[in-house]
Amino acid sequence: MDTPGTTARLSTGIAGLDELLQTGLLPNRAYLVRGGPGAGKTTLGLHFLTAAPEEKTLYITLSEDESSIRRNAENIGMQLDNVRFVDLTPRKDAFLEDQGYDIFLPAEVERKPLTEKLLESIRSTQPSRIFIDSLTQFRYLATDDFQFRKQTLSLFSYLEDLGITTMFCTENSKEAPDEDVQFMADGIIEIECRTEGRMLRITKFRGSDFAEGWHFFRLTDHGMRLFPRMKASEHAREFALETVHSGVPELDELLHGGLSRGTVTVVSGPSGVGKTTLGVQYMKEAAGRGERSVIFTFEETPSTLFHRCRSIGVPIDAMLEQGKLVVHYLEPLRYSAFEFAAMLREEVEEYNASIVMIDSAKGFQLSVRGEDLLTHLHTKCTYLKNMGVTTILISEIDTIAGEEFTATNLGVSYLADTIIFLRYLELEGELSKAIGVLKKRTGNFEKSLRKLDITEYGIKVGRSLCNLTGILTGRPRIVNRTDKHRQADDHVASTD
Amino acid sequence: MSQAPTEILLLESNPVNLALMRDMLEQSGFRVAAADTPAAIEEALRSVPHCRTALLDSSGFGPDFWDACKLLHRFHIPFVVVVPQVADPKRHAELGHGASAVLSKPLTRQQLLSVLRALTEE
Repeated sequence: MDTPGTTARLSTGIAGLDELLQTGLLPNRAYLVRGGPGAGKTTLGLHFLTAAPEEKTLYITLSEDESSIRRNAENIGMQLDNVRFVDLTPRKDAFLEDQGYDIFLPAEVERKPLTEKLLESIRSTQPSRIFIDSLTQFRYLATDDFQFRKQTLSLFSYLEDLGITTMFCTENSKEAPDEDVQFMADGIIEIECRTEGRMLRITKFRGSDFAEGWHFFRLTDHGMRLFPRMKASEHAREFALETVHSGVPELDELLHGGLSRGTVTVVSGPSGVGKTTLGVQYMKEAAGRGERSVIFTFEETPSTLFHRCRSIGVPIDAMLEQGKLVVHYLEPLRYSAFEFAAMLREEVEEYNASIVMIDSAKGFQLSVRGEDLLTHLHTKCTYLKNMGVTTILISEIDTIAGEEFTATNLGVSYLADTIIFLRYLELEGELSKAIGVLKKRTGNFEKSLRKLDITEYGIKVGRSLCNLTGILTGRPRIVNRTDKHRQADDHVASTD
Repeated sequence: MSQAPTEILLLESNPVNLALMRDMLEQSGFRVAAADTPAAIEEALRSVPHCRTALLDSSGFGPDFWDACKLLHRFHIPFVVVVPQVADPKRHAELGHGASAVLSKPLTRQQLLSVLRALTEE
């Protein structure tokens, strides 16, 4: 007998699904795939059969004929060389025949030849894996529920004795519910086709742990691709707690050195104030250190971003060419948060990205498709922190200026180790920009605000705006030294 | 010495039903003579001179079906009538025309064989 946890696992042929199954299926068992029409059951079955090309496998079809399955498999580039088909679908000429039969029950007529054909195929092929599409058809060939249960259990037991791992699907409907089959299966994979996308979950896996919850998947030109829900706690690596400089001395002064590696910085501000540009500045400096940065943009297209970067002296083309910067444009309604997580992991784990910018929280909100934004963001930010990545999260606020100061929108401030805010302000009749730091968990920072300019030579951060008050309202006024001292005296007096 | 197969006459208008019943009966040790109309019964009986019973599917026939019943009755051949699944008032009529048993479709093999064996062993 195998020691718990040591049994060899079988790949399903879908990397994401194997991950949910703790590396794969346990052999010699029967697994149920539940789902409505067009959900992807057949594709999943094909992946399962072709996962090990050196193994002989059997596809038992009772609904879609062999040629159609082969054609569809070919379209997604699947090689079925190791798959033998047992086509138990009705003959094409059955429809053309004048009469059917009504003298005996279908179970009386069809079951025996079908079972004989099935057993003969199993005996002659000696497969290690079988996919039955679908078991619901066997239900129609049983005289009653008891007989169906008995025959199904008997079939599973027979296949298990032969060392065969079976995957089978059902077409759950009111007329033929599959609750009884769920009790018989060793594992259950449910797939659904929803308006927000295709989702998969595992609800049962005898003898093994598994990742719970719904996970997003796509049926692509290369078959099924599953994007497991990210679990931040499962990822971590050692990294040095060093300071990440911006390359702009005044900006670094504001942060008493710079950002900290492995932290999340929220850059907040109204539209067009320079949030993305600020993030790019850190990436420019990182490129100079030989580090790779990644921008996930949910709103601005790469071409616009590149144009803007060129106009402020950021050597974006060289950065892109040298692989020091990668920009992923994720149209929120096209890509899901699960796909974003997979891309994030690929960039961090395979390409060792050191700075990641998510632009923006609001754009990302659309891609979570009704799920909780903060849960998704929290997971991704925690993952990036655990992996020592410096994260810049862009948060756009709706107010241009006003009495009410808002640090961030969408409640993302709690995710931040550092909050840098950018604001418009009216200064001597001109529209200006200011930059300040609201929070920095890993160290001290300058409490005053500074003037911010974005020029053709890049970001310019000025000296502290010490002689202004009411900056956060957007309409600051100049205070002279005497005023300041009077204010300080008033403050001391009031606290006495 | 092996026992001679029990001879049986089949009346069936549906060729698919006929083929299924013939297979089943022959696999169960019967020798089958088939007729697809009541008029063909007399001819079919010539090939099974020791016919012990008959199985008649009433579907697809008109009043001539009763002629078939009368003929079998005259030859003292016990017969079973198979009727459609729907509740059929003719059920009593078949019995009135000498049927030993009336069975409703669809049948199970076990059910049909039990009735036929009971008749042929009488």
